Amino acid sequence: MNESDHSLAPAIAPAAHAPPLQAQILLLHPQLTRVWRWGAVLAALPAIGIGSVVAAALGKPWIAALVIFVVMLVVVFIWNYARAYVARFRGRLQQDGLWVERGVWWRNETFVPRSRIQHTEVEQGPLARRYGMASLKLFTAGASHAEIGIDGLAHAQALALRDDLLGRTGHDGV
Amino acid sequence: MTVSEPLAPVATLSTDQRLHPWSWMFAMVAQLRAMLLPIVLLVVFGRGDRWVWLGLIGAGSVAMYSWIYSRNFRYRIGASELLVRAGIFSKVERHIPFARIQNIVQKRHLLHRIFGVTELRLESAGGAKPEAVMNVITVEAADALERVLRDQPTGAQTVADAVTTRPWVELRMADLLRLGLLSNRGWALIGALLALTWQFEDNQRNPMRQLYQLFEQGFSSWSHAFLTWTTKLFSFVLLALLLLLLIKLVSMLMTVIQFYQFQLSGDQQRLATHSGLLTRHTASARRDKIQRLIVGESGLARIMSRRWLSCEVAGSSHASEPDQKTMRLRWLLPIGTASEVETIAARVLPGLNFAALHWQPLHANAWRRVAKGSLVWWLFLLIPGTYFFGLWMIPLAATLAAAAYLHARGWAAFAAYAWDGEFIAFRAGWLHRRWTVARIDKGQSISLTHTPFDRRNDMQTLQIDTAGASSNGISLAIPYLPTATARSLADALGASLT
Repeated sequence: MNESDHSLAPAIAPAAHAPPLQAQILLLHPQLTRVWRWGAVLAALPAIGIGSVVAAALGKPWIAALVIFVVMLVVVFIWNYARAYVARFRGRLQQDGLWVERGVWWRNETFVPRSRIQHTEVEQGPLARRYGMASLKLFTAGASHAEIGIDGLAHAQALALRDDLLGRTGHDGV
Repeated sequence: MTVSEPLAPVATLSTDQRLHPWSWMFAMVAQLRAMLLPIVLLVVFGRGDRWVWLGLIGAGSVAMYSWIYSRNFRYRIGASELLVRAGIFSKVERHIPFARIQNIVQKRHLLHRIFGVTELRLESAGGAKPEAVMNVITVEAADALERVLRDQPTGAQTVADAVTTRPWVELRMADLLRLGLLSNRGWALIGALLALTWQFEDNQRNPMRQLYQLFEQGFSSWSHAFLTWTTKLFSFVLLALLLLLLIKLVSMLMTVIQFYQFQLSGDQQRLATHSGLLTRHTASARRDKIQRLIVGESGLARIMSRRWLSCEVAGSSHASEPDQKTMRLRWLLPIGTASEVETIAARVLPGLNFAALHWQPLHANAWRRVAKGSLVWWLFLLIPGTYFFGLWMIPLAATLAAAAYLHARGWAAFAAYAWDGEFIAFRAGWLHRRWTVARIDKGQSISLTHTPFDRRNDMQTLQIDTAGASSNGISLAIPYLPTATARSLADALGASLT
């Protein structure tokens, strides 16, 4: 997909006194695919364990086989989905706001103007902290998109985005 | 009277005010209202004194809590903020700047009116709970507080502006009865009552069954030429008609109770509605906080050439109490002609010319998507249906398919969007039509979504998020737009937002 087709840049030229900001491309953390894949594998183990215990308790080995089969399907799915998600992710910090495009089958593009961002949050789960990843959450006054979260960013980039987005103010449209 | 006089010395109001001495009773009633039905059932059907004692203990502790809370509640009107002190175990002191208070709601049911008090709620744009809930204060104190809030300079000056003495909208009894006829308020109540009669009467003494048998006998004795199944059919139809009549009568009654003496009034800063027969409900909001307007027209309403107009106001979307959202300013014109709706809409959103909106249709194949969608659902019903009805399923399925087709074509023919650089609008519906319009500067974010089905048909869904939005039957999410149109529209809207 050609990125220039998705430009949501303002139609009006920016004011003369404000230096034009180069649109900053958002990149997901390079290890994100690996983290998700291995995270899925790690989560699969207790699931299989529980299934086996239940099967042993009930004396029906086919339950364990079924559980293993289903869990493996899920892991394979997540294995491929992670790669597809990261490959299809697009994000851009523009002068007028933040634009993200995500999703594999259900694709969603969201544009949030700077002035509409009420506050931001940078969150790191334990696994994410180990790899230096973070999630950036933007909060607007809206209802269905009150919270726009971008997972799997590099921590440094998440912080830089947060600082950048908080800097601008304007009428918040409420 | 057009100009409000300067407020009586603020000094008298800048002392701590307390709630009405009987507030504890109202607080208790409010708490118990939610538990009323279970308590009644418990007392009526519970076996043994233990349940009665449990109920009494529960009610007693609620009363105690309410009493202590009400006695400790203090509020003070400052120069530019409202100070509220409340709490039993964790004492909370809130400073609420007047400018932040946007929605003011007053609720008075029969008990309130007997005592001359009111429940006052002050809401701001966000947060999970109202900023302050005063349950209860005297009507005079509430009016004084509202006056102070109204007179706060929030941009445009207010005191010199003449408050319009004539309300914008005043509904008369004829309008209310018409509205009751058009809506089905209370159908859930009747359904529940019917279900109850089914539960507690043994089958033969069931009133519905008795009525049905009465009709059956009436029809068969009227003409012995009738076959048994025609008698059954006629009896059934007559029963259904009676039920419909009952629903409509109850609906008219409930509408009158809810909208009695409905009034919409406004000035430069605020809009306010007053309505209610038993419970007097007053809701007001700042005009610039109105996010979007919604117009609705059911099939029956179209026959009577009537529509309704409501609005969405910025406020907490995550309401902690179930009726918090409904207490906010919502109904602008519960029933009116199309031109009345347009007039009020233009007054609420200056610059909006509803009739002049240039409506653009959706994708040409939108009807196919809608038809396929509903057919999938009907398919789920067909399978068990065939099991129960056998061959009768064929005409039934054919009827459902025809209905789905008609619905899809009708829906797609009416669905359209409009964008004139300032207002974005969307309309949809077949029998029950809805329109929604918002000024673009109320938009919070723009999103484009496409599913695999969308991609195959070259369509996208464009959504403009606004504050305080609930579903209300229609949101500013425009489905089945051709991809190119969706993209250019998203670009244009995004540019207008920044």
